[in-house]
Amino acid sequence: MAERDTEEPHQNGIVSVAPAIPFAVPQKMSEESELIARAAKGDTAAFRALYQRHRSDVARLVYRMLSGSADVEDVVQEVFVQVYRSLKDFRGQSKFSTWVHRVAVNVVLMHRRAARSRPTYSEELPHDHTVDEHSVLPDEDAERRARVRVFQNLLEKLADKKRTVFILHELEGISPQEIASIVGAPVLTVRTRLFYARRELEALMATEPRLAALRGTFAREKEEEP
Amino acid sequence: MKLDDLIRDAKKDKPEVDWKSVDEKLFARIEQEPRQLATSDEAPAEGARVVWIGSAIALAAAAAALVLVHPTSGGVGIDSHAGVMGGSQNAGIVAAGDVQNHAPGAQLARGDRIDVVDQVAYFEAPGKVRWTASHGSLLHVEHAASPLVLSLENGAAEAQVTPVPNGEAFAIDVTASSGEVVRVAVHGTHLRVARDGDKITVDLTEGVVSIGAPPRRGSTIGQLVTAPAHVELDARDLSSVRVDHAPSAVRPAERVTPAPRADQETAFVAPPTINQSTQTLQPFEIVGQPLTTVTSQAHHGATSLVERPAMLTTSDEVAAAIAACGKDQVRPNTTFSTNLTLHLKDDGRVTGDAIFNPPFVPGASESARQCASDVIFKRTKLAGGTDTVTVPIEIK
Repeated sequence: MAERDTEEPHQNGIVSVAPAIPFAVPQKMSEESELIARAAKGDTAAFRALYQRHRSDVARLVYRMLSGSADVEDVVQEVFVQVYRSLKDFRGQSKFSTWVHRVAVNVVLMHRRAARSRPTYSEELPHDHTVDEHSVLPDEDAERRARVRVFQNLLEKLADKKRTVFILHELEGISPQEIASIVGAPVLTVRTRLFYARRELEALMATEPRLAALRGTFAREKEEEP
Repeated sequence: MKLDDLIRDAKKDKPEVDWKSVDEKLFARIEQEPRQLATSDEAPAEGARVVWIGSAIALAAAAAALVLVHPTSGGVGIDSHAGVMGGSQNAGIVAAGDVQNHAPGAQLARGDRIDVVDQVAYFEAPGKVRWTASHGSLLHVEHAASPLVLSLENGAAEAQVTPVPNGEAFAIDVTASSGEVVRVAVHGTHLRVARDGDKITVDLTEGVVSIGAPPRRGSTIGQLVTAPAHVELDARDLSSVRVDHAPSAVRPAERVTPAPRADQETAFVAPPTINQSTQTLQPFEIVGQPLTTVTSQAHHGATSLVERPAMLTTSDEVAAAIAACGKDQVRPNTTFSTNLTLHLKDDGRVTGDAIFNPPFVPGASESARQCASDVIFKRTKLAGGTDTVTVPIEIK
C-alpha cells in the first residue's frame, strides 16, 4: 500500500491553522506558566512539580508507543531529561502538555530506532512470544491481555508515522489538530495517516490467526457485559 | 471482533511504573546536568536576528537536523536519505578559491576530497546550496545526490541552503575520534558547522535544528533548537549538546558566494574593512568577508543576507503579493478569482485561520502555498483594519 504521508493541498481553503489563543487564561494554566518559567531558570522544585503533573500521561503514551516494552521507565526518564534541557526553548506557542507530548514522541521514536539497530541477545524473548507473565490473573483478564498483545503486534507492523498518530488519536484521545502540532505535520496529513492506519490495521486483523482464537472469549465477555 | 473492540481493550491497558525508582534516577541526572548556557527569557527581537530571510524560509520548512549515527549503523546514514529525495547526482562546482586538484568550475562528485588551500573556497550546487570552506579545511563528498552530504574532517563549512518542501537538502557529517558520526542535516537554512577535534560547533542563523537519532527514512526527529542559536557538543556524546540562544553568542553569517568582480552588477557593496588585529581567530574559523547588502548594514554586530520585505498595509498590496505567489500556478490566459478572509489583531496582523473561498489555486505547489501563507502571516499588517476583512484576489 502506498504511503500517503505527503502534504496535501488545503482543499478547504484554510492556509494555516494558528494555535488558538484562549481569551481567558485558566488559573491552572497561569500557575503552570509560572512553573515553566521557574523551571526554565533551573528551579528544580518547579520542574519536579511539572514532572509530577505530566508523568502519568507521558508514561501511558510511552508505554503504548513502545507496545508495552520493559523500557518504559528508562524512556520516561529520558523524556523528562529532554524536557528539562529544552524548557528554555518552550515559547508557549502550544500547550505545555502538547509540547511535552512532542518531546515524548520524539524520544520514543529515537529509542525505537536505536533498539532496532541493537543486536538481539539470546536471553531476550522475541516480542511476539505468547507466554503471558500475567497468566496467574483470572482467565478473562489474561485473555484480554492476550488480545492487547496481539493488537500491539499489529500496531508494530505500521509505519512509525501512522502508528504514532493512531496511538495519539485512538488511544490517547488527542484531536487531529493537536496531533498536528505534536508531530509537526498538517492536520490533513494527520487525518490521512489516521485513515490509512485504520485501514491497514483492519486488513492486518483479517489475516491474524491468533485473533481468531481469541474471538470466542471476546464474544463471551461481550455477552456478560451489562 | 472489530478494531474498535481491540482499541477499547488497549485503552484499559496501563503501565505499571515504579515511580520511586524513576524519580530517583531522573533527579539524580537532573542534578548532574551541566549548567545551561545563558539564555534569553524572551525571543530575540527581529531586529537582532543575524539573518532575516523573508518568505523563502518558513520556520517549519527550515528544520535542520543534527544526527548522531552510531558506527555500527553507519549504513543508516546514507540509506536514511537515499529514499528521501530524488534529484540529480550533481554535487555542485567549485565556484571560486584554490582547492587542491579542483580548479574553479570543476565539478564535484561522490568521493571527491576537498582540501582548501585558499583563504576561503566557495562552492555551489545551483538552486540547492551555496557553501564555503575555510583555509585548511578538509572534506569529502559522501553523497552527491540530494541531499548533498559532506564529511568534515577538519576545519569548518558554512552553508546557505535553499529550502526543500520535504526531506533534507544538505548534510555535514563529523566523525568523532571514538567512531560516532554526528550529522548536521538541513532542509533549508543558514548555518555553519565547525570542528576542533571532537568539539563540534554549530552556529544557526536561520531555521531550526533538530538533534536526534538518524531516521531510517524521512526527516530526522529530535530535540528542536531554533535560530539564532550557538550549539556546542562533543561528537562522542549527543547528550552533551548545549545551546545558547543569545544573539551575541551566535557567529554572524558569512558570505557564501565569492566576492563580485568590479565589473559585475550586484546587490552587494564592498565589504567593510576588518580590523584583523582585533579579531581572535579560532583554529577552524573562516576568514571570510562579512556579507553586506546595499540596504542592510550590520545590526548588533551581525549582518543581513537578504533585504527584508516591506510590510503590506493595504488590501491591494496583500492581493498583489498573493497574486504574485500564485501567478505560475494558473493556466495561461486564465484568471483565477478568490476571496481571502482574514481575522486581524489590533495591530493589523493576521490571527487565526486565513480562508480562501474558493480555495487558493487548487493544485498549487507547496512553495506557492507557503508563499501565500508567508504573505498573510508574516508580511500583512493592515493599517486601520477591522476585526475581519475580505480581500478579493485575482491571479492571472
